[in-house]
Amino acid sequence: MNDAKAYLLLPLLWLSLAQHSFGIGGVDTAPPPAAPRGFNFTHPKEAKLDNGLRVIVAERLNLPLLAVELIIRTGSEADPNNLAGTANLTGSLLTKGTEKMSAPEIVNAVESLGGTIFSSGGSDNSNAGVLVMSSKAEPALTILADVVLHPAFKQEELERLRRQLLDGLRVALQQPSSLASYVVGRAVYGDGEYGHAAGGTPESLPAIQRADIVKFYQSYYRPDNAALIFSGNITLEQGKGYAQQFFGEWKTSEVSSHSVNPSLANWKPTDLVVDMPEAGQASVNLTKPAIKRNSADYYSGLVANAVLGNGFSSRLNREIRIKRGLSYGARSSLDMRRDSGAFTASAQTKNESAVDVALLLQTELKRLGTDPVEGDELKSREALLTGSYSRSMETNQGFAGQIAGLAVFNLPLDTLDKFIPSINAVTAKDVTVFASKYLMSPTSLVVVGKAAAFLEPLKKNFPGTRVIPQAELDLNRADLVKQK
Amino acid sequence: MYAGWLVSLVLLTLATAGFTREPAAEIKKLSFAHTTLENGLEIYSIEDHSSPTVAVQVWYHVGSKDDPDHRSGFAHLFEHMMFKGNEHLSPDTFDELTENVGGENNAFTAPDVTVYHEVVPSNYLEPILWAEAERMSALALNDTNFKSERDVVKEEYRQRIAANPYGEFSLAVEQKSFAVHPYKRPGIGNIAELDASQLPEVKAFHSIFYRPDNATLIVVGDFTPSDLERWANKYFGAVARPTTKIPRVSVTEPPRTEDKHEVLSTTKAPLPAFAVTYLAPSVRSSDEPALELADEILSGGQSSRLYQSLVYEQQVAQRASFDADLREDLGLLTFRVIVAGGKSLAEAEKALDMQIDKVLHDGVSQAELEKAKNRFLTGKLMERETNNGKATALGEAAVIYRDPNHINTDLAKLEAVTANQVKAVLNKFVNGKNRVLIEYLPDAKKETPKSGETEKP
Repeated sequence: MNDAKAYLLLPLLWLSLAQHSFGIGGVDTAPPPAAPRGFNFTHPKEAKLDNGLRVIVAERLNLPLLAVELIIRTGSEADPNNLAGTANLTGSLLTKGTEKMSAPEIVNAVESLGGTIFSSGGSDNSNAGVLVMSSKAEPALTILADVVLHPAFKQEELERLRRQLLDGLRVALQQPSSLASYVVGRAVYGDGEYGHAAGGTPESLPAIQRADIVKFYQSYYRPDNAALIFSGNITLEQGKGYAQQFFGEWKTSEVSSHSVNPSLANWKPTDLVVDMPEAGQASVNLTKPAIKRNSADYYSGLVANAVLGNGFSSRLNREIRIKRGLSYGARSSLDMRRDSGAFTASAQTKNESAVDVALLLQTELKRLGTDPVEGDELKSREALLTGSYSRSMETNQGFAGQIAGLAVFNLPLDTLDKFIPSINAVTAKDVTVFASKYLMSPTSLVVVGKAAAFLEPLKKNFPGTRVIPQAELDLNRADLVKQK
Repeated sequence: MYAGWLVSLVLLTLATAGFTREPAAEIKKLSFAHTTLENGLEIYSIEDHSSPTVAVQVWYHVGSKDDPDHRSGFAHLFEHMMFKGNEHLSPDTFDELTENVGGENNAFTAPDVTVYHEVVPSNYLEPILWAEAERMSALALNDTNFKSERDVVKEEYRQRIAANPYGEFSLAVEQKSFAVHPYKRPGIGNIAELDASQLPEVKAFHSIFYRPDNATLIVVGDFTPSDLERWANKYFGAVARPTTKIPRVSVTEPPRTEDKHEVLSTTKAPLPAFAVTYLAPSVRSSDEPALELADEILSGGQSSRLYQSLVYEQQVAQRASFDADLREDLGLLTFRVIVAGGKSLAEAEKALDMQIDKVLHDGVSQAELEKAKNRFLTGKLMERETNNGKATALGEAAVIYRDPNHINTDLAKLEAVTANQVKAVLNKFVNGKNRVLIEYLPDAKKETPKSGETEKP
């Protein structure tokens, strides 16, 4: 028998406990912190092979582990017209077969070492890598080099992966927030090179031919467009040796690299609702193009975004979740790319409160430009950024990821050391200036949800809103509407 | 045979200090300290100065299975209320002592435990210990913050279940698989029972379960043991130990006497899904290591049996998994499949049954076993990369396994398992046992054609 009922009869006990009028240990307020200790991390070192491949090594000898990540500095922005998903298919197919090994042989070999192997293509970069015990470095690198240098791109594997991606998309497009992320891409980039879905669409994936993939691979998978990153139980000498041994034969081809050409100069805001009658919640987003990764305003942007919507005590989460219970979480992000990336503020809420949430997002965004960030608020958001940065460096995979984030954009490695002081140097005025410069002009509203529950009040506040029924949505077009 | 000598090497290393031919094979023993305060609080700690942070976790031995009757989701709602303060703690205190100074905090509610966890810059250890002790001592809540936070939890329910095409399916697997045990009630709850919850119930729940003799404190990272001892005594030592008995779930799930077949329909999911479940033993059973290996061999990574057969070769599944979901009282062995586009439910079910029959009849290979053991070893090393990873492992060992030294013995236990034992354990719990089959079928009318046939614009 479940005795769970019994304890509802015991509220008196609580009274006796709650009558403590002294704080715990006789302390009513938090005891003060001790003196802080600084965070020290390894300085990565680098070398270059004769074929142009950049080799970066973070020596972290405390555990017998090794993370290896090879990045290619080109990704979905270079997908051919109407072939969204080419970079993703190319990257993902690397591990699906080489001239010598089949897909099952590759994954079985690496997993038998106790490791993992991965490859993919996203915006601004493609990557492939392994995570293994450092004692397994040689066999793992043999396979990693084989998949990067000699992928077979077998038709059978292309068809299999295509079907898997299409099935995955069918599921993703039934989820309000993931569907919204596709729509936000179009709302920000229109038909620019970042506008299409990096993972492809239900229409573009079937159109991609093996020849498109081979061409993408030949154009961009070259040592002078790549960086090989090691993080873990390895020295620079060992890393260089491995790079030469396994990637030394990699040849540079003649094809020129891709330069991004988005057309954001004429960007215009547009308010959109995608009507998803079955949606269990509405995804509400405000979005617009903001800054590039190499912008001089990078650090001010991170702090401004953190004040608005990064972390539990950010303004958006405070207003939408903590004060009003309207969402499980509200946040904002700056997606910084080779060219201007998207600023997005978002929350998921019950369909009926979509308009309340849209207005709160709007109010807080405006307030960022008008209400200066006070001392403690500024310090707390800077600490949030430097703390999460430091924690990301605790794992080999995280450390390799931070290096990759620089290598993709050809930023110098000493940027790693500059992060914490640069964040701490951002002032309250910098935040206001950033907000005025990039975030105050009108944004686009994107709501994906059950329109019947919110359309009427929404149109009162956002009169120009276009409504696209889910069945008529076309992610391949800048205007998002299927042609009849 | 690599993994074969690996663990014996670990044992040798411990005995002979540093006999290693291959340093990578070495997993150092974690040496932890343990003490019990007079009020019953268990404290486990590991001192490690490699990063200037410290992970603090408080594990309460109360979970969703302890939800009061007609209050599914209550333990989880309660977990949210633990952040809302008392006479000395404001609702912002935890963020002020963590996120706002460069740390982080969160909590989770599992079927058997509720865990509150922080990582803080190490100079914030004393204040965070004070704050954890404060909320263990008492909460002081009002109707406004209760209702507002209940709304947050309802939004969490909508996000996880209502807005997720397979949310209802995941709830159904537990609901249909247990006959009487409270594990059948979803930890996330439902809107009606959340709405029915009242503030006084929150207070009662705290007094019944949130007490030092029902909690375990874990501290891992950059601290000095004498400081920890002093602060633990000063703050946690001041929390009173109630004299009442802690109620425990005493329901026994009976053995199944027949197969069950449940069918649900959905307007949200584009692809059919199904699950097959069998009852399994407690996580503290001696069968646990063999079941962990079975889980890994059937479902860990893309070279696993289910991925290779159902997803890769036959392409009947968009996703296929096996989960040895072992809990304090008993567990479930759960096979889950989302059917691939263009394939029928029947084809996928048949394909899964063939894989189950095959492993029951032929067992697993030595190579599969070695692979699984190697993957556990790498996973164990990765868990050691962060203070939080080590703290979670130590908490799980002490509270879930009731054996803190489990963090140092788990690999040896896995290593000792033979291929025959993996086969035997699966036969013990699956072969000839009654299954529950849960099917989750898209409503045919709602299916929109969304496949590759659509023409390019």
